[in-house]
Amino acid sequence: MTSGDRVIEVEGLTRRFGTFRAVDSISFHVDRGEVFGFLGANGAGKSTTIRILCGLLAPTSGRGHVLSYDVATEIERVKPHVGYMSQKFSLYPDLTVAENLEFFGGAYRVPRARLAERIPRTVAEAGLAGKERLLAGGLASGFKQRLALGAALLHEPELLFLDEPTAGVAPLARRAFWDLIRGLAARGTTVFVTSHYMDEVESCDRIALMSRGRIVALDTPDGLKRDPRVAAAGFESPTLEDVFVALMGPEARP
Amino acid sequence: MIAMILNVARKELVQTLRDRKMLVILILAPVLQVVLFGFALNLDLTAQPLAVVDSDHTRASREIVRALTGGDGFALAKVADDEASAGRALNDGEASIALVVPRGYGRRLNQGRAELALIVDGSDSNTALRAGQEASQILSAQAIAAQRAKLAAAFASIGRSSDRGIPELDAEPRVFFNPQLRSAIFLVPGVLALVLLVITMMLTAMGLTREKEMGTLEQIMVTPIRPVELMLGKTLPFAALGLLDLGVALSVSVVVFDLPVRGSLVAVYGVTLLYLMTTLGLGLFISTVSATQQQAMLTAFFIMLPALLLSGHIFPIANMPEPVQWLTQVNPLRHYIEIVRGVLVKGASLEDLWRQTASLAAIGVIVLAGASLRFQKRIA
Amino acid sequence: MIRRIALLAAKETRHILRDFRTVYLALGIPLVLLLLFGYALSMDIDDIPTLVVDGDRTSASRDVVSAFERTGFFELVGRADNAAAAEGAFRSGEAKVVIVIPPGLGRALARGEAARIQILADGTDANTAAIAVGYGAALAQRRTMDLTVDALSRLGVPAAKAPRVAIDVRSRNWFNPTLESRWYMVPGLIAVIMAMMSALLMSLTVAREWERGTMEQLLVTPVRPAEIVIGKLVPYFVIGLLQLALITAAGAALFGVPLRGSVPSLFAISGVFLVGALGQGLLVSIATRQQQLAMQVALLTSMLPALLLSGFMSPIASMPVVVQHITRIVPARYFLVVLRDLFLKGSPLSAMWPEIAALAIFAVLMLVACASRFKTRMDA
Repeated sequence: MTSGDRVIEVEGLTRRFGTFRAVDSISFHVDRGEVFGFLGANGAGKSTTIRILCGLLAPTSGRGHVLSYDVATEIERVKPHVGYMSQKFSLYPDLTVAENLEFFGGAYRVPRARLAERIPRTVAEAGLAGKERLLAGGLASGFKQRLALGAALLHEPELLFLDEPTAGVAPLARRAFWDLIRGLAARGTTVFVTSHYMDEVESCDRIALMSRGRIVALDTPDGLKRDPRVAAAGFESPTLEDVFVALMGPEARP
Repeated sequence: MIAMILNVARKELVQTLRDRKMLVILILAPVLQVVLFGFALNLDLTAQPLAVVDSDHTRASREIVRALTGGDGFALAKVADDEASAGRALNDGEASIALVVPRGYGRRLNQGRAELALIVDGSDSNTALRAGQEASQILSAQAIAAQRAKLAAAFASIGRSSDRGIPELDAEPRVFFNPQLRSAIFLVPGVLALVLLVITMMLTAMGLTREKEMGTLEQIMVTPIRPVELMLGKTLPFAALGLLDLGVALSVSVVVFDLPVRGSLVAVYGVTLLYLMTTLGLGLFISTVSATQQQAMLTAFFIMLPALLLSGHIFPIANMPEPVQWLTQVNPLRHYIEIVRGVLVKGASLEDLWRQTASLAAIGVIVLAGASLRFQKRIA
Repeated sequence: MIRRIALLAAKETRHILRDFRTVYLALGIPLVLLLLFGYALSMDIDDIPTLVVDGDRTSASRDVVSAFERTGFFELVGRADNAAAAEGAFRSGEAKVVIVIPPGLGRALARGEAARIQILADGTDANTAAIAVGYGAALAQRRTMDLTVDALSRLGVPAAKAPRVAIDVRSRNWFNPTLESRWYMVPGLIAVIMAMMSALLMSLTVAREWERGTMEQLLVTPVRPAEIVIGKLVPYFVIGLLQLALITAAGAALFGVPLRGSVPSLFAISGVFLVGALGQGLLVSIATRQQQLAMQVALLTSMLPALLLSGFMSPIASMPVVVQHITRIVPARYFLVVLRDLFLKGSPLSAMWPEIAALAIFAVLMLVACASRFKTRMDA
């Protein structure tokens, strides 16, 4: 992991909706091959941050660079190298598994020959072999999740944005999902993931804690546990949950 | 129960009105519809462009041209040299009707019999027919006037004064309720029916289907909300919006088109409630057969168009084939429009219009009962 | 770029085919309208329910009544005792015209005096009232003429020698000799249907993706707005041409409507119009993110103008001047002219270049507006 290779670089990034600051002057960076977690309660600003980095929202002020492109002005050049999976696993419910994959593969300009190999592999990895002709809308949510991830990976992106990817999915499936993510990172893909599940983010390389639009703490999981504020709050051998409570206060309970 | 209904109703209103533009459109739509229908659908014939070929150039020929262009119906658009050139004017759309006065017209008229030709642009035959009829009427009136002059002269020549001895029949017109013959008055009730239909049938159907489309219907079904509460909570807001829009449309009609309000507004609103029973019922029904909002909208449209066209709003029912006329008896728009026309313009009471009121009520009860049963079965 | 457009078009086509109701309705609604307009709807006015108050009951008064009946316009539905019953009859809708003949009519006419009947008309239906009054006046004049000729002959001037004035009006219908009103109706209907259906079908497509969240997923891909716009238009363009073929064929089969122009011209011009009309619907969808709102806006900006301001329902020349100017930005107006020319006059394309240019400009404008208004940001 070359520390000089910063895949995401954010400085003073702010996003306002009217007078409400959803993201309030945050700064951080993500290195290549990291699994970087964004943790926080609902409404903390995690999804807004991801959307800015994907080009879905424009920043109000501050700077953000993804793969050294400016998110405010050069976002179109970022898109071919980035994959995104939203909380809603937004697939077309009235298209089949295969059709969804073909479509998104084509949208990312994956060459046809390549796509012809990738799709069956993606289908198999998602456990959907034999189900290619089923409509995506009828799948169980665990399968939808894996299909959505597969669609985001068809073009073998350098960077993957996952927004609450395990929301509403059974614990066993969640664990399997994180195995997948770790595998991706081992192969060099950078993963930026948001979540409000403590146990999952345990396996991230670094975690940013977000509350009310601000980053309250940013470190490796162990580093967070050793944060002086945690001890000050009375926790001796803190779990990440304790860290959370200590640093974000009772109102931030996820 | 009431609290639950209000809860659902509030959610529905919030979802529907989330975009501020929706509120704007809801107020603007009836205004635009009233204005458009009232001004654009002028069913009278005015200022039809007329081309004239006058090969006679006598006082008689000039008189005949003046007779045609003197009123509102025709405006002189082109003086052509010959029939071919008049034909070209028709071709280019410069004129929609041409009058050809042959040479010698004045002389032959004096002798008792003369000929004129009217050429109409048949590619627009509705207008052509009526323009032709109106022009013929004007020309006949001219002929009759000339004839009367001659007859008076004939009487005088026999030594009798023309004031005594010639019988004369006169037809005195008296137009009730709308002496200025403004066609907007005829059209407004239909627009009211349309406005209500769009809001209470189309929007309701879409709103009900949205739940299904979003996948949140399941979520609702696991709560203690009862089917009837869901149904009422989702239809009543649109009924309220519909009544609001009715008020807006009525106000605009009164202000812009001087719509008379001779009867009881209470009666109008009362009858509107009966009408809404059918429209809301149809909205409910449509939502039970649609999986997406697009389907709901298209299905509603499919019902709405024939209902509007076969309601007597623009096209007279008396002119439709018999079987179709019978069909219109189950069209709530037909009865609603007749009642509103009667009450507002003629000052009729619901007693005068008991047949239409009863029909509307019957249709409403049947449709609403059937649809709500079906809806609740689907939900439960 | 082409590959992505093809991809998007294929996806859009799948959406349509998976929801077959859309296709049924896209083809069914035009057919229903064709049948309605062809068989059931017409603006002709006939068989108006009429009451007679005959206070005279002589052969003279009966002659008057039968003269009215013979026009075919008045249908006698009953007799009343006095004129006061008229208002009630109008209110209940029982009659639209009441003819009042005073006592002593026969005697007065026989004595060579003046007599007066009354034509009471329900002004709510201004059109009918105007025609009734017109007929009344014409019939009265004619009666007077006949009575005068009789009186003259009794004075010794034989009927044959009585001075007559007649103006013969030859009505020739250019382009549509039989004035078959359906011949003009079908081209008009094509324009109206294509305008309405385009707006209807396109208006929800983008709004729906926003509501469902799939638009987000689409926007993070490298797909460009122009590709999305064109990709969405393609399948609906095909549907539009199918509708054209359907109505043209049905119009020819059912009503014998001729297509005097060339078929390629028809499809070419319709294609240009379609791009503009579909683009307009798509623009509505892009500008609104809620399906209910999109539907309302499409109704107001595409469907109503196409129906009311295109010249289909009523001639543009009869509209108030302000409204006439507004019709200039309604593309259906130009398309209507082109279609009527193509079907009935067989004009070559070169003769219609101003209208074609207008349609082409509109199409380009809409495409540009769609591509530029299509924001790739969620909050734009």
